[in-house]
Amino acid sequence: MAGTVSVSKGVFAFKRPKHRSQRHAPRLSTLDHWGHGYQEEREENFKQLTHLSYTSCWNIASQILQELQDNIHSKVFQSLVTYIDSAGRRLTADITTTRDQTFGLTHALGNVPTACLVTGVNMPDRDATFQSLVGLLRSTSRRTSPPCRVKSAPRAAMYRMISQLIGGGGWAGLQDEEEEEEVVTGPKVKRKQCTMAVLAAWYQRTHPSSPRKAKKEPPGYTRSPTKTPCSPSKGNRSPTKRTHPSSSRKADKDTQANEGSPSKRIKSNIIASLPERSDKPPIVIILEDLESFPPRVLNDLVLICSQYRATVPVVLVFGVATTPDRVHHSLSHHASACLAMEVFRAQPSTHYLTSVIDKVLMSNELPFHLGGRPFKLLLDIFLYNDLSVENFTKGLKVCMMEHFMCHASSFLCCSPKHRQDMLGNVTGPQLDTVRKLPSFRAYVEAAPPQEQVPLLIDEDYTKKTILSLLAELDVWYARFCALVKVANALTSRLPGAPMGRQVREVLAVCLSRSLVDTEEYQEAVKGLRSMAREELVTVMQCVQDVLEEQLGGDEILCELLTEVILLSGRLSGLGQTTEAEDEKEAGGGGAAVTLKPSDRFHLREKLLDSAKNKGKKSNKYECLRSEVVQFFSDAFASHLQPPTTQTLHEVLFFHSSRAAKKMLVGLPRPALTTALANPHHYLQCDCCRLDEPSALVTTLPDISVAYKLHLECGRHINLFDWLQAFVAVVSQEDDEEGPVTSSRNVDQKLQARFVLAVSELQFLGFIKPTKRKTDHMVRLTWGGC
Amino acid sequence: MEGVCGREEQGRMLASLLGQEGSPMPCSLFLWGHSGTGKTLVARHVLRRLGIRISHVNCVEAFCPQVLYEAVLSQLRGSVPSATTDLPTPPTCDSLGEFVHHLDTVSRAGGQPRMAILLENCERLRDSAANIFPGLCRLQELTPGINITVIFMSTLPVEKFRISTGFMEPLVVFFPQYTKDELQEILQTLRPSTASQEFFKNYISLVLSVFYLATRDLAELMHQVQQHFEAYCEPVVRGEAEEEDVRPLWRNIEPHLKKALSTVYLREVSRTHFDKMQKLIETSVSEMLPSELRNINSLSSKTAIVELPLYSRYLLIAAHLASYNPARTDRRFFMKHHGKQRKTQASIKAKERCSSHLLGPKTFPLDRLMAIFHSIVEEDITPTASLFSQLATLLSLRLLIPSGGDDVLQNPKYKCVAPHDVVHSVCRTINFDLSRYTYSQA
Ligand SMILES: Nc1ncnc2c1ncn2[C@@H]1O[C@H](COP(=O)(O)OP(=O)(O)OP(=O)(O)O)[C@@H](O)[C@H]1O
Ligand SMILES: [Mg+2]
Repeated sequence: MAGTVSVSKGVFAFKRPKHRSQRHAPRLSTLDHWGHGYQEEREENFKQLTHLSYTSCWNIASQILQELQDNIHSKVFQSLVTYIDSAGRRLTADITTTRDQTFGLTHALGNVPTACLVTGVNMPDRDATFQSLVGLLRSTSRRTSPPCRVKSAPRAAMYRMISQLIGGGGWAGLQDEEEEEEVVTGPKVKRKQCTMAVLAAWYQRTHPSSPRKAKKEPPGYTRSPTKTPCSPSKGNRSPTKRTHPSSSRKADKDTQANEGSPSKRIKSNIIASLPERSDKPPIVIILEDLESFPPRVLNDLVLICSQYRATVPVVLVFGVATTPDRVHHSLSHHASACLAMEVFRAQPSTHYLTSVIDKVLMSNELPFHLGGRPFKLLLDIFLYNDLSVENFTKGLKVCMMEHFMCHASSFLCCSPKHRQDMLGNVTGPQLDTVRKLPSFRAYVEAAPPQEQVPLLIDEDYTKKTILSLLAELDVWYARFCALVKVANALTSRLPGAPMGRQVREVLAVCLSRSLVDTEEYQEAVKGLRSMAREELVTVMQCVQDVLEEQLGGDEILCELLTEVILLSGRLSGLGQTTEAEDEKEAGGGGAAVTLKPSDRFHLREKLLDSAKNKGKKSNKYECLRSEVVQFFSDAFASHLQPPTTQTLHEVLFFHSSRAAKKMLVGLPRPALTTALANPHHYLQCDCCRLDEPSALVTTLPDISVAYKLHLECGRHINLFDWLQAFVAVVSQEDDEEGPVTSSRNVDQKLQARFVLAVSELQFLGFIKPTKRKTDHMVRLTWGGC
Repeated sequence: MEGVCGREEQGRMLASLLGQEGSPMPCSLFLWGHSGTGKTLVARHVLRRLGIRISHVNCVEAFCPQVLYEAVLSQLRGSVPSATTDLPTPPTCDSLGEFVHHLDTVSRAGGQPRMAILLENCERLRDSAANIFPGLCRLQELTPGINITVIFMSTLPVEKFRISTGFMEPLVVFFPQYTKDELQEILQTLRPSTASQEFFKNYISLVLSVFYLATRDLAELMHQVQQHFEAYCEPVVRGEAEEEDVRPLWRNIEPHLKKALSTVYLREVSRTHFDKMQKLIETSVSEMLPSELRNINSLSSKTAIVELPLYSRYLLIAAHLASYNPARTDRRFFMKHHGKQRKTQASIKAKERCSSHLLGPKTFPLDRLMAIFHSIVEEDITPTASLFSQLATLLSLRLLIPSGGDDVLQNPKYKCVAPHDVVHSVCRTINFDLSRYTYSQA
């Protein structure tokens, strides 16, 4: 960055040179930052290997995720697009056939068809959602004006909207995506002329009612939306502006990078299902983030659209995070009467998460797996903090990186067919990293003595063993996941759902502990033991379905399945026999009663008898029930052990939640207090090393000293005392040289340092001045957050 | 006046004010009355009949005078506006002086026709520029030789437009609200060609009898009339009733209308959608996918369900409590050992009971919010960055709003504006007993 000649201190803005040289410089890849864990030179090879495995793993994961992302909303989007299409057709029909008096013209009144897409509050995901919606709309309405996407832009909204629509500009060309400057590919739009009248005229011109002749198609259809500069809005009417160009731009690039086949898939789906489109396509205006749209602007927009409904067929799409009521909250009743709104609900993000967990975490397609604690961490972040799948996958990526970077043995964590090659490249000392793994050592110790030696010395033998062990581990994990689903099917309908209703909850438990030992499971067993027969039958049916689905050629699962089928067969058989007996009994009892209607004693005896019989029968059922429960408990006990019990689990499973937590969970206040109480933690300098955390050393930074001193005070801090204490601590070093300054007469320099430190603390929010007492500061409870 | 009913008086008045060809027109006219009382309809009708050239601009759109001027000019000129540079653009016009000049050329080019400028929603002119409304009021004075008049239309009376100096009162025409009979007559014009006069008339009077008390807004009534006609016709179509049988038809339509009464003005469900929902409900529930089921449930149930992360829910509740509880009672609600209540509290409470919910939410500082939050969340949680970003999320959802405060950086203040039913439904999802902590009900 160039310097300035200014003598004043301040922040100066430098315009970036037009052509950045970076474009031609080789791009840095993750490899360049890879492997802070490998200091030694000979481990360079490892660096390559783990990085290779990492990239292949992440590619697999991101591919699955992209597919999910594109499919998760496909249903809503499909109905949304159909709605837009039909609304558009109705609108244009209105326009061309001048308002006839047939009925069903809600539209004759100036209602603007509006789709209200309820997206849920997960902010980070929303961008991606709308991205795919825009892509979908553009592809389905190929011959139309592009849908335009307005992001909570205020008064400039009109300008943006119209310039996007007409110009086709604002949609930057792909090759120019690096350019920050606006690249308008279509005709230029003058800012002053952005009115609806202009838009109407444009629409008339580009879509004449007569059969279209060659229409000028705005070139450069790409998916990067809204790059219009938000020029300063003038006039006192302009409300505050809230745009986030940088973030959206970044997201664009990301999605552009990995946009590909999946999105095309939905497109073609919908194209196939749509009837041919009219010549006069509607103009779709998407307002994401309706809540943060200034109500006044929204009001005006709706009124204007409704006014011009006769000439410009506008379909509005509102992205609403909370509830559709919000639309009415922010519109005047006059404006909301101009809308014909329909509500669409996007899949809730919990649903999305479930499929992510199912497809990514609980499958062997991705060789990398999460251990119990990291999984719990990611889940907690999701449920407690943001409900954002995007953040969840980012967390997953962080875990993956951490795993590959910090565990040398993780190079083996790749798809099974590559393992052989991976092992082939490995030298003896490197193989030792695997041999040193605790679970492998345990395995060696448990092996028969004649195998122990080759396992430690013979390279080829070890490699072979490792391969077979890993293959076993894969099979085990598939079984594990299947049984987790079985456990969920078994317990999710119990009253109170002691183990949770979702697969993820069961998974979280099973990954960290042995299921049968947990309290939750004991609860669930209690519940199962008091289940009625009909319920148990349906539950068994569920279990059977799950097992059949998850079978995948696993022998043990096959065995379990046959057992389950047998058990449920016996259950229903029991039902039939009891019913038959019931009928017989009822018939007999009825006969007895009718025979001697007056004999109460006999009747009573009969009833008692039948009650006893019933007890016996239900005993039969109870036996079977406990047999079932026992069966499942045995199965779980043998197969649902946490992954840490398996040999070589360190290779495929990531367990260190601490590392992940450090990166995923920001703790501003603890970070601040750590920095102040123990500067060595961040500075890593010798001078600040403390033996105990509360120690006070002269060499600490001033603010740190002031902070520690203030901790010793009560709620009110006397500034003078504080200063004295500060001087005493800081000037200890000078003790030997100069005479001790008298308590009244403090060194000016020290005082200045003290004042600086105090004002810094005040800025950080630990203290504030008070008017109650002169020369006092008040400590704040929630400082620094 | 064909096509316009019940506005003969206003029509006559307008026509006489504007006069015949050759006579001078009034400087400016001011039409006011509720929305949907036919101002635009009558004005355009009369102007067209008198052969006056019209330019019709909605002031909502004209956010600055220039837009207004140029729109008026282009309409009077009869040219098509264009935004693109490849066509010659009309000269810009951004002051009243230029506007007058251009009007002159337009008028001369057209052979001095009579012209009128219709300004819809003219109350918006007041915010766009200071002199534009009085300037337009006396436009004729500025344009000698041009036969032009300005017609303002607004829902506000003219008193709201007066300014102290240089204001020339326009001629005012008031459009009163329609009576029930007039409404009946106007709605009658919606009759589709397939329905007979009598049949439709009965239908209109049924609809009016239900909705007249709730709304007299013509647009809304028209909407309702169109919305329910199909359902009304159903028994006839199915052959269960004759067109004259008012009673069975009424019995059939009454529940529909009563239901619709609760959603007057809420155009949440368009008719096609309404039908779709009905159909979905009719098809057996078992065939439906769970997501569809949920859709219906959430559509039909009135309670507002907001899906929020767990801590956000607690934050929202804490904000609600902080907004509606007086700060001095926090000790009582949120401390484990708050000591005994003094007896006098009851009397104080009685005095304040009504006030706290009626007065609306109060502002609270961030500190207090966090303190309440930590005390209502049972377990210990560290204040992470994501916790604060959730606060930001709530703000962007407008469930909380920032409310001033002298120190935005160190001690920002907020207010909880989430509707009560949202907060209550959030409480229900996490089994939180709100009333235990709420002051006015404690
Ligand atoms: N007397 C009437 N006869 C027939 N239709 C009418 C009559 N009055 C109003 N309408 C109908 O109501 C619609 C709205 O009327 P109009 O636009 O004239 O109201 P307005 O007074 O201009 O309302 P706003 O203040 O909202 O502009 C018209 O399009 C017309 O269909
Ligand atoms: Mg009007």
